[in-house]
Amino acid sequence: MNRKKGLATISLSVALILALVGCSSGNNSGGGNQASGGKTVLEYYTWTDEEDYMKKVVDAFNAQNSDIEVHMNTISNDADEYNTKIMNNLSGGSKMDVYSINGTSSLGLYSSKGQLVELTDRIKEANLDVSAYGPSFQDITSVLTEGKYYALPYRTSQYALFYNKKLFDEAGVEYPTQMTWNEYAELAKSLTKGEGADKQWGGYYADWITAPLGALQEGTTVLDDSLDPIANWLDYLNRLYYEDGSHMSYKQMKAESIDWIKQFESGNVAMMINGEWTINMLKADIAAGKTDMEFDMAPMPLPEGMNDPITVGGVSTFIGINPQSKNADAAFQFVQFVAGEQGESIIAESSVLPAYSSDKTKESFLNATGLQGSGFFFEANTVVENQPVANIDEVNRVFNEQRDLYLFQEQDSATAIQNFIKNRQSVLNK
Amino acid sequence: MQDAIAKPKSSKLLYWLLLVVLVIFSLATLFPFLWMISASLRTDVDLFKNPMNWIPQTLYLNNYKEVWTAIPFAQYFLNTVKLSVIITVLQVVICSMSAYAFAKLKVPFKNTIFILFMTNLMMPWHSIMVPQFSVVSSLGLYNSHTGYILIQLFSGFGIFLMRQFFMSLPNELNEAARVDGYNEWKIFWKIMMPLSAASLSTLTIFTFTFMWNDYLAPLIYLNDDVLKTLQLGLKGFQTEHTMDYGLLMAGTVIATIPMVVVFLIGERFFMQSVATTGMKN
Amino acid sequence: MTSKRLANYKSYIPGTLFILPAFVLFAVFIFVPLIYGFVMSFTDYGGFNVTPNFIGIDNYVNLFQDDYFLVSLKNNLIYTVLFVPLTMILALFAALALNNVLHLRKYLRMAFYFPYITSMVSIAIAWGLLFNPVSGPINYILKAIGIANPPEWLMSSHWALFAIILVAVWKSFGYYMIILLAGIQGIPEHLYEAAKLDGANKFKQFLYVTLPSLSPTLFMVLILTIINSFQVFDLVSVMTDGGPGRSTNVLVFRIYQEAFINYRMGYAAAMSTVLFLIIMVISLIQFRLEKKWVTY
Repeated sequence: MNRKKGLATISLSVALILALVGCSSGNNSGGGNQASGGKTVLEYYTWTDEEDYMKKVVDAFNAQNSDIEVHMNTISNDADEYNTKIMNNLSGGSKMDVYSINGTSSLGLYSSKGQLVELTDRIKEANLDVSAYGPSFQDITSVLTEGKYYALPYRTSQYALFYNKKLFDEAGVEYPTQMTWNEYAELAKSLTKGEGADKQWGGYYADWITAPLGALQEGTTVLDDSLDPIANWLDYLNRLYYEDGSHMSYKQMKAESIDWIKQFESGNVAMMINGEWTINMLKADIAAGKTDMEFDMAPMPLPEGMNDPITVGGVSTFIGINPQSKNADAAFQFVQFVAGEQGESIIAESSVLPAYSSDKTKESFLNATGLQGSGFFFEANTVVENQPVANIDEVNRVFNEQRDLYLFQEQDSATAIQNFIKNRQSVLNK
Repeated sequence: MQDAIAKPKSSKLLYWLLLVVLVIFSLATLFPFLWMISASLRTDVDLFKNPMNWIPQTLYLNNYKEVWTAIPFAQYFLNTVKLSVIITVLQVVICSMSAYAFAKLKVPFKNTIFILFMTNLMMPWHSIMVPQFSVVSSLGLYNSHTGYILIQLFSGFGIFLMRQFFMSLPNELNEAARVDGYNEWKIFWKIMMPLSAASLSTLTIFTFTFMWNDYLAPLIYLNDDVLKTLQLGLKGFQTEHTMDYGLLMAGTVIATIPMVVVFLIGERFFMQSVATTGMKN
Repeated sequence: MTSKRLANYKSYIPGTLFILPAFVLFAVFIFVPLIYGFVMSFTDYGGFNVTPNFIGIDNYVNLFQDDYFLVSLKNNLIYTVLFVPLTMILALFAALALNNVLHLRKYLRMAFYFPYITSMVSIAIAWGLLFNPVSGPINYILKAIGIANPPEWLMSSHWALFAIILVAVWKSFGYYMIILLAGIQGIPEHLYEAAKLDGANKFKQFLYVTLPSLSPTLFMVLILTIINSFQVFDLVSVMTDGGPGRSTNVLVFRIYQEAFINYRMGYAAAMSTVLFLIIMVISLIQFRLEKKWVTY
């Protein structure tokens, strides 16, 4: 009996010691950041896809600021690793002053859990013009964070239509311009030909684009009561994938783990609906000699009866400060630089669509892409892809579960919507 | 066990039939690896144009060159070797020691402690991942090889495996050794460990394989580039929207070689020890 | 009792010292986090440095009204019921065959172990191609032998779980084969010779010598496969991400999603506790039954 008590006491005291050590050393993560030469060192985290252009921004910032040095860390963003890593850092892992935030739902999460320094006062003091980030940032701020600023955006995401010039030339068809979704489907059908290794697809619609683009253009979101436009959109996808067979089927993309951009680069896809990041990636691959394709872009197709160009997107990537950082002032300087005109111009020079809209960033972007069509991004109206509410990721996930079953041809679109509404309820009740 | 061939004809036919079945079966088990080699020798564009052409028309060796420069492959490789070797050796020794105590020695609250230890087998690592991280970082061991090594040294499986083996050894062996004036430490190293070479090599192969392929724990515990492992580096080829198949597959092929080597070495011990224990009986 | 213990006090020293390193490591890096997690399951902890609130057994109550959790529990039970026997039969067959084959032994042993050492990401891609319902070789063969409508495997909510089980068996049988092989080769030769003298044929030798002598190892493999079947995560994560729909969502995957994607750490901790209890109960039943069929 005595021994048992002894054991319990030992483990309890081990736990206690650990807790005490934890308290005293928990703040270590913020300390020891004064590097040699009195420079303030900032640890900045972002994900691998951003390395290419954020490296240039960081270098430019370091060159301009003799007293601050930003050290960039990149983490793979596959399967939520980036978020896992950031969470560990925020819970006292490695020293982290500034971090990039991927998507509005992450912004909502980090701000609601108190993991971002509120920037409202600093923004006021610095006289920053937040209207340059466009209306989507205002929507997000007012709905998601109750009018308070916790981070600044530096990238905008927008969908558009990309096409392979060579395939249009070969077919003797004019390059596409603004179309309706119907016209798009017909055009894709007419450009589809061949079998096996010679197969040419009229279009490519990546399996991971889960947002119901056409329905969003019409103003319906996954949170609405009436979801008919979304059901129609699902039927439309079914037409592309299976009825017309003008797009590689959803099943085949999933089964063969098709990489969308490589499929497009392989030269047997005439048109592709995808995001603005396509430009940056295609240009990088062309420069690296991985492909010699020639591409251009056109506005995203529109639902029947709509005339003004409208696309899906909005500010999507943010940068904010860890509350545990001991260098919030220097960190804000860096944040301001990244999301300001200068940093944004550097980002734009890599053909990445900046969040900050000014003549200078616009010009940098158009020069960099060298694409006639890319002016579209600055002209079209946008509707947000993800509604700025908590749990949106979870709602999207249960939507995607039903969408999957529909596109694997296991249930009709009405059943998919019904099941989704049921599952959405239990997510929102949690 | 060596007499399968010295048999009448029908039995011989059966033997060859079995062998054919096994060879076909082995091709099926090897298939994905063959596919990996094929994919590593092709450009990604070619791979997607002709996904079902498994034999490349022209060998594209660039992936094997590029993989060394695309990431600090050599550094990651050395780190992985270092961590896998240290963890494997220490884990095998620590687990064998306590397994031996459970099987042959008096330990206070033996059953309670054993059941407690076995909870490690039953708890998925994901469920203690976060609290474990808090413990390691509060000890100041985050972002160090030491921290990562320490969390891997205890293995419920290793103790279970070695205990099963030690229990199968006759107690008379210990008693005889004690009469000869051996202390427990000496019995363990001079008698028990050599006798258990087969189980030890099994555990070594398993632990090494597991550590070599470990991904999530290094991701969480190792932060600096100089500390990172091969699996972290390979994962870098797969990013949010795209994947560099050729480089990933070339890297995977190279990363698989050390495990094959360890398996072949471990297996030799394994076979020798089987031969010696067989003779003693 | 106590005085007897004191008299034997010294005899405990070596054993205690042998266990000490493992005990310290266990206490600090496994037991403390385990208790921490258990306490967490009674809170609404949501990650980060936010102080959690104590909410009693709410998490446990919600758990059994949560469709998603119950589906993952059901999927996991199906997985266990199929994975365990299939893996054991295949591993035993491979181990026995290798023990009786004189040609190509080294190659075969390596080939069977190979799936276990290949990286998960590459495996997922390769198997995706194999299972491809349109142009994959598996359905090509099935059609060739006269099955008009072969399953759509990973693309079908009815078959995806079975496809995962198939890959899981493929990936892990070589691992258990090695354990069994060690067990088989540890069987003393003289037992077989005695059986032969009694005129036992190969099958009878298997039945009366191999199986009983191997029963402790078989028992261990049984326990390990059952436990592993409740910890399946990697394969689901790389091959189907729990889909189509929820058809391959299993317990650990659900725990992972709740903890690291939805940041409901307290709720996830409650799931972990339930999972832990399930494995614990099954293992205890096994250890009870062990005495009936295992011969040491």
